[in-house]
Amino acid sequence: MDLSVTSREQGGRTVVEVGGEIDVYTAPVLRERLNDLVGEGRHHLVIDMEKVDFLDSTGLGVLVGGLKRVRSHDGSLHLVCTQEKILKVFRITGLTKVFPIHPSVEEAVAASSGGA
Amino acid sequence: MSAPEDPAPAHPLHSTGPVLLRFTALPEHVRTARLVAMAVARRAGLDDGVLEGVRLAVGEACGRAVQRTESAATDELVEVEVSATTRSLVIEVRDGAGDDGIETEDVALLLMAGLADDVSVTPGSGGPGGRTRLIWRV
Repeated sequence: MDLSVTSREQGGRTVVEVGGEIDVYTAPVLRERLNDLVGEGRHHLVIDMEKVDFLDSTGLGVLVGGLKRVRSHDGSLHLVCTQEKILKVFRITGLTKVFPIHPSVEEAVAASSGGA
Repeated sequence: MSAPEDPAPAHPLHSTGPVLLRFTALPEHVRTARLVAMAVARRAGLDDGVLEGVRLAVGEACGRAVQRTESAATDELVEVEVSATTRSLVIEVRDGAGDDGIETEDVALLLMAGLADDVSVTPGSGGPGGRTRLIWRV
């Protein structure tokens, strides 16, 4: 499987580092990991997409599902992404208005902790 | 008003005969279809920025075909045809789901429309919605 998902705690937030291709085949794996994290009580997520090489509409669906899930627990979901090809996917679908997207994990954690 | 004949493109593509791929409608094969389409598009001479769009749009079209086929519970193969003329790259994705294929979310169509110069979804051999055609022009 060409997808990796690891998580760590940083600044009181859960940073989820995703690498590889998020597509119709691998997206269910990411969905399961996000569901597990929220189930463990981790409601403030920062998803680091810098090592993501490919993202399709099913991947977007998983991220939107994750956002809904953490919000139902008064949580938050911030993204880290500077790659133009990935940002373009968010732009075309209008999701740049839905997700706070930051250039670095540090900035995402700070924004998330600031009550954003 | 009749449009004048389009002038030859400044950077014409390398014309190639069609490349045809048929695969079992499983999500794990969509990546293979993306790689094949990308390889033909690269061979034809499309720019790197456009290639990324081809990769994503073909993935969306194939993902849609796979999901339609799965929902129709048929074992029809999904077919991808890629061909290039000097003026355009044309990719057609066909499924045999017919009327039973449940439509996926609009996001896939939104992405394809945002990435290709032209997108059309028309009835295929198996019935409505079975043929997605993507065109990139130079």
